[in-house]
Amino acid sequence: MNLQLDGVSISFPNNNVIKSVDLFLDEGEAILIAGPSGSGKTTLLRAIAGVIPGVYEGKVDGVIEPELRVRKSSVAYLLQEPWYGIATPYVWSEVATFTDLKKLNEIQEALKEYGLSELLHRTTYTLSAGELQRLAIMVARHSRKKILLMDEPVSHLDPDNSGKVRESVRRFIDEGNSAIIVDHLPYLWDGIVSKAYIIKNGAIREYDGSLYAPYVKKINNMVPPQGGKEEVLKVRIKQYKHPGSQKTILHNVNIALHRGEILTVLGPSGAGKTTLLKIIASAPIIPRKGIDISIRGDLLYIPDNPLLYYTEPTLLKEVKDKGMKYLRLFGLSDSATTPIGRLSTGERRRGALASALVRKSSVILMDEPTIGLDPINKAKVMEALVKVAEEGVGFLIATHDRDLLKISNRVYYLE
Amino acid sequence: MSNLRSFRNLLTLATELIYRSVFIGDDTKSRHVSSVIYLAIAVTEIAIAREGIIGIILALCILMAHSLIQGMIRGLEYAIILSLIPATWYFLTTLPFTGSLLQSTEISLRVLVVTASLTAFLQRINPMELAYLGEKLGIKESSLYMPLFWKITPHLMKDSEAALMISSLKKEKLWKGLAISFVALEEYNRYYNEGLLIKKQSFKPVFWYSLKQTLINIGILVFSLAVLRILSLNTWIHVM
Repeated sequence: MNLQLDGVSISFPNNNVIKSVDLFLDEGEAILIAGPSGSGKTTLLRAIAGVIPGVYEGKVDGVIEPELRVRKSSVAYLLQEPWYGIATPYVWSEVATFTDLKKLNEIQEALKEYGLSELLHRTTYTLSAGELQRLAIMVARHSRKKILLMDEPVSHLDPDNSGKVRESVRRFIDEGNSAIIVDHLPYLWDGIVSKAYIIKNGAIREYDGSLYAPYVKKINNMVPPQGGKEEVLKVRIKQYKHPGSQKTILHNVNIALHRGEILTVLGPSGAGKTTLLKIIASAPIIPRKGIDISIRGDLLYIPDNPLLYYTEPTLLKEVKDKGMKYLRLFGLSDSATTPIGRLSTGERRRGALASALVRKSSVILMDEPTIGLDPINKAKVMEALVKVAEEGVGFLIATHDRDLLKISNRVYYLE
Repeated sequence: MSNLRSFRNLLTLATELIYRSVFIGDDTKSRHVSSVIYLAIAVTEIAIAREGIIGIILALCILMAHSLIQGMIRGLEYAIILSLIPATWYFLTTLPFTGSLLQSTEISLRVLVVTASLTAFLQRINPMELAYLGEKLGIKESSLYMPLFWKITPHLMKDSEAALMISSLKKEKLWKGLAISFVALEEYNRYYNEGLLIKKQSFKPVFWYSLKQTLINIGILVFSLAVLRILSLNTWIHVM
C-alpha cells in the first residue's frame, strides 16, 4: 500500500507547525524523518495516524491518501513509549485479541521469531521497553497492517534490544510492507530506510547529516567533573529479588560515590538499573534485608519520567526566587511560569536538576536522563549535569546511553 | 511533621502491598476459571467466618488450602499482610467499646478473613474473561476498559509510589506528591487514547476456561458450602 501526502499543513491555535509537506511512501519502502525536538516530526506522524484532530486539537489541511477510514485499518501507530500502545495485561492476550492468531501454540511460535516466546504468560506491565516494542511490531505484522508509523522506536532501548527491534522492522519491510520512522539518530536505520528527511521550521527536506554535527562534536569533547574525596553515598547489596520472584536481580553490588562525582550504571534493559536506584531512594521508607545504604546529607531521585519529580505547578514555584539563577543557567528562564504539564521532557529534566540544586542535595539519583533527547537537548542536559556536579553534588545515573560515559568519573556495569 | 512522614510512609507501603497482593504474578491456569466460582468461594468463606471463632479458623484454613492447591501461597502471604492493616485498625478502635480483648480479637480476625478472601478473589480473576463476557453481551466498546484498567492500574500505582517517595525525599507535603500523580494520570489518558485510537477498532477479546482448574474450584466451593451448612446447623442446635 502506498501513502501520499500533498501540501499537508498542520496548525494549532496561534501556531503553524507543519507547512505544506509533500511525501510519498512506496510499498515495501521505509523512510526516516529526523529533526530537532519540537520541529513537528511527531505532529506529522499523528496527522497521518489520524489522532490530529481527535485526541489532539489541531487542523490538518491538504491531502493524505489513502483516506482516514482506510488508513485506520491498514496502519499501526507505535508511540515512543511503547507501553501506551498495549491494551491488555498479558502477552498472549495482546496477541490473541488483536491478531488472527488465536491458539496458544500458534502465538508462541509467532512470538519465537521476535525472541518473545518465553514471555507468553507474562504480564505486559512488567515487560521492558524493548520487549514491548517487539511485541507491538509482532502484533502489527500479524494483524495484517501494511504501514508502520513509529515514533523514536529505539530511544528507550539498549544497543542489543535496539538491534532486535530494527531487525523486526527490517523483516516487516521485507514482507512488502512499509514504514515511516521518526528518529533523532538517522544512522541507526542505514540499510533499512531508503530515504531520510529532516523537518526544520515546519518544512521538510532531504537530510544531509549536517544538523546535529556540531552538537555531536560538543558531546564528544565533554569531560567529567573534577570530583571530590568526601564519600556521600555507600551502597552494599548482597542479594535482591523482586517480591514473589525466584530470579536474583542484584547481587554483590558495592558502590561508593564521592562529592562532585558522576557515576554511571550501565547495563541492558531489565538488568536492574532502575531497581537499584529505587532501592537506594526508598531505603529510608522500606528497609530490606541484606541491603546496607548510608547517605551523607540529602538525597533526591529524578525518575525516567521527570514529571513525577515535581511538587509545584511551575518551575518558578519549584525553585522559588533564589533558584532563578539556576533556571537561567539551564536555559529555562522563558519557561519559568509555564505549567509543568506543558514543558517538554528535556525541560522537565533540566528543571528538576535546578530544583535539586536549590535544595542543596548532596546526592542525586537519575534514571535515563538523556532518553528520547536529540543531540541538541542531550548536550544541554549533559552540560547541566557537569555544572551541578561541580557545585559538589554526587550523581548516580542509570542509563543505556554510552554518551554519558564522556562525563562519568566511573562506570559500573550491571549484568 | 513526623506524623505526616509516618503516614506518607504507611501510604507508600500500602500502595506497594496492594500492588504485590493483586497485580503480581503472571497468567496461570488458575486464572482460567469463571470469576463467578471465585466470587462464590470468597462469599462462602466470609459467611463461614460469621459463625464464631471456629468459623474464622475454618475459613482461614480453607483460604490457605485453596492457595496451597493453586500454588498461590506467596499471593496469600501478601493478602494476609495487607489484611492485617484493617484488622489491626478494627482491633484498636473496637477495644474501647467492647472492653474485651477476646471480642475485639474475634472482630479483627473476621475483618482479616473478609479482606483476605476479597484480595484472593481479586488475585484470581482474569480481566480477559470479563472483556470476553462483555463482548458476548454486546458491549464490545466498553469491554476494552476492563483489561485496560488492569493494565494501567499497576503502572499508575508504581508512579504514585515513586511520586510519594520523591515528595518524601524533598520533605514536601503529602498532597503535593499525590497531586502530580493526577497530572501524570491526565497525561496517561491522552497517550493511551493516542496509542490505542487505531488499535482498539480491531479489539476481539479471547478467553478460555481450564476444565481441570474449574473442577478443582467447584470441589473447593462444594466443600466450603458443606462446612458452612454444618456450622449453621450447629448454631441452630445451640439455639434450640
